[in-house]
Amino acid sequence: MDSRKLGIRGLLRISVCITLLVALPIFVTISKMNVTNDELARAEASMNDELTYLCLQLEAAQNRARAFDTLASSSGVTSQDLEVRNPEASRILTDPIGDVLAGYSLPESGTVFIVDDDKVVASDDKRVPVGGSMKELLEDEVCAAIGASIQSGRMQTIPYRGVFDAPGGEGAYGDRDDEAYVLAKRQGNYTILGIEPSSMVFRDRAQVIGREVVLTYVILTVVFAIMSRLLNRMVLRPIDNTNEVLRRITSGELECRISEDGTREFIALASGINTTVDALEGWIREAETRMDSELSAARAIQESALPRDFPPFPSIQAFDIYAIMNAAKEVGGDFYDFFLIGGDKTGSEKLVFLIADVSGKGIPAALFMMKAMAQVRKELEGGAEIGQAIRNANKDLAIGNAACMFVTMWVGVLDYGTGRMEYVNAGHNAPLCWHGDEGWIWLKEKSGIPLGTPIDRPYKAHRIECCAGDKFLLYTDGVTEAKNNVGDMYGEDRLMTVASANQVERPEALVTAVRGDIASFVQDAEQFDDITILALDIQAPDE
Amino acid sequence: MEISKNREGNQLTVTLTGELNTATAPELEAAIKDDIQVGDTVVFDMTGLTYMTSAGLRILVASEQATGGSGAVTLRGVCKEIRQVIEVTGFDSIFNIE
Repeated sequence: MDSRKLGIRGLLRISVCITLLVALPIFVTISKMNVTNDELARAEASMNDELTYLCLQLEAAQNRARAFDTLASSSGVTSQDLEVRNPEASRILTDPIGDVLAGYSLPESGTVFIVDDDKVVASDDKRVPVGGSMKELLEDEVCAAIGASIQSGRMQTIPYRGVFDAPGGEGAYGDRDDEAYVLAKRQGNYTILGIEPSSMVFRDRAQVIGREVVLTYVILTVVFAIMSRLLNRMVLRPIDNTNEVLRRITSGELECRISEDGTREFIALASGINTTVDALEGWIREAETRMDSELSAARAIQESALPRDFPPFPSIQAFDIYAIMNAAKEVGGDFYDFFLIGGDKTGSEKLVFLIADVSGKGIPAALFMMKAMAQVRKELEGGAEIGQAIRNANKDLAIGNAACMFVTMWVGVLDYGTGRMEYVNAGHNAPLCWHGDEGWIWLKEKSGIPLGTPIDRPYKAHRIECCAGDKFLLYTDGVTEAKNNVGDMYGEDRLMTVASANQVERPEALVTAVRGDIASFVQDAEQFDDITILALDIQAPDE
Repeated sequence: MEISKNREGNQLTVTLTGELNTATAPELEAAIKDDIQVGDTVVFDMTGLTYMTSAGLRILVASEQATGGSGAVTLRGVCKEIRQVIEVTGFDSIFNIE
C-alpha cells in the first residue's frame, strides 16, 4: 500500500478547504449584489418619503402664500407692513419656498434643492446656490437623469462628479469617481431634487457583506463537520475495520472474519469478503493437507533410502556403525550412507561409509540428495577407484543441474579385513578421527570441490591404516552451525569436548550423546539446518 | 540482508550486507539472476556480510557458471568465518578472493 497516497479523510479536508476558498469570491459577489439591491431600495424608499414630505410642505407653503395674498389684497396690508410688524411671519409668507428647506437637510448628508424651471429657488447645500442655473451647475447627463426620474418616479444613477463639478462644488462625500443617486418630484411648477452619494447609500455595505459571509461560512463549517462525522461513522470506520481484518487474514489469521453489521452496503461487502475468506481458508487447508501428506510420503521415501537398521551387518564384528539424520524441514538435503562392496573375485570386502550435505533444503535438496546418493552408490558398486568414482559422480550430477545445486561429501572405503582405508573429501567439514594414541584429531585433508559443478577435476584419495580402537565421527555443518536463542553457534570446540567426554562409547551412544549435547545447547531455538551424524568404530579385524 | 547492484561496463558489483543463509539466498538469486551475462565479471563485495551458508555458496557458484565459468567471480572483503566456509568446500579454487 502506498502510504504517500491521501486517505479519504485527508482528501475530504483538502477538498473542503479548496471549495471554501474558491467559493469565497462567489459568496462575496452574490452577497454584494443582494446587499446593493437592498440598500438601493432602502435609499429610494427613504428619499421618496423625504421628498413626499417636502412636496407636502411646499404645497402648504404655496397655499399659505396664496392665502396671504388674498388676505393682503382684501385688507390692504402690504408685505412691508407685515415685515415691520412681524418679521418672522413676513419671511414665512413672502418667501414660502425658501422656508420649506429652512433648517432642513436630507439625512446622511444628502443634498436637496428646489428648482423652478431652470433656476434654483431653495437649497440646503451651499454648493448649489439659490439663483443658480441648473444647466450651468449640473452636467447634461445629470439633467437627463433628473428628467427620467420625474417621468418614472424612480431613483436614477448619476456620476457623482456630474453634480458638483461646477467651481466651488468639490465632492464632499466620497470619491469623485463614485456614483450618486437622484430622485426628483414635481410639485406645481417646482421640482424637488434629492441627491445622495453612493458612499452614503452603501456606507454599511462592507459590514453587512462581512457579516453575511462569516455567517455563511460558520453554517457551512458546521454542515461539513456534521457530514464529516457521518462519513466517518458510516463509511470510514467500517473501511478501517475491514482493512484491519483483511490485514490479519493476510498475515495468516485465517479464522478472522469481518463483523456483518452497519449499513446495508457494508453488510453485503463484509458478507462477500467473509464468503471469499471461507472459500480461501477451505482451499488453503485442503492444499496444506495435501502438501502435508505428500511431504510425509516424501519423508518416508527419503528415510527409507537411508540405512536405518542397526547393526546393519550383524555377522561382521570388525566394525560398528551408527548414524542419524534429523531434517530441519519435512525432507532434508543431508544424507549418510554405508554399504559393502567387493567381496567376490575382485578382492576383499570393503565398507563404504559417507556423509553428505546438499546446498539448500527442502524438496529441491531432497531430490538432488537422492540422485547424488544413487550416483555415488552406482560408481562405487561398479568397482571404480574411490577418487575416480567421485569424479564420475560429479560429472553425472553436473548434467542438467540448472539450479547449480551441489553436494559436499566425505566418503571412506574401509577394507575391514586389513584396516586399510581410503577416503575422499569433496568440500565437506573435516571429520573427527580417533587414531591410535593421538586422541581425537580433525581429518583436514581435502580432495576437491563439492559434487554437481561442471568443473571436472580429479579427486585425490587419501589413505590411512586403521587399527582396532580407531573411531570416526562424521557430521554435517548443521551440527557445528546449530544456533541457540542468542545466536551463538554450537561450534567445533563443543563437538570436540562432547566427543572426548564420550570417547569410550560405542557409535550409537556417541551419536546420541552428541545429538543430546546439541539439543541442550540450542534449547527451544528453531532448527534451521539438517543435523546428520555418523560414527564408526573399528574393532579387531574378523578372522 | 541488503543487496545493492552497480554495473560498470561488463563488471557487475553486488554489495551484500547481513547474513546470506537459506532464508535470504533466494532473494539474492532473484536479484541477480537476469543480470549476469556470459563474459561478465562479477564482484561480490562481502565487507558487510557476517555469515554465509551453503545455500549462499550455491548462488556464488551459479554466478560463476553464468559468466561462462572462466573464473570471473571475485569475492571482496570476505570475513574469516565465510572464508573458512569457502575454503572447507574447496570453492576457493574457483573464485578470486581479495
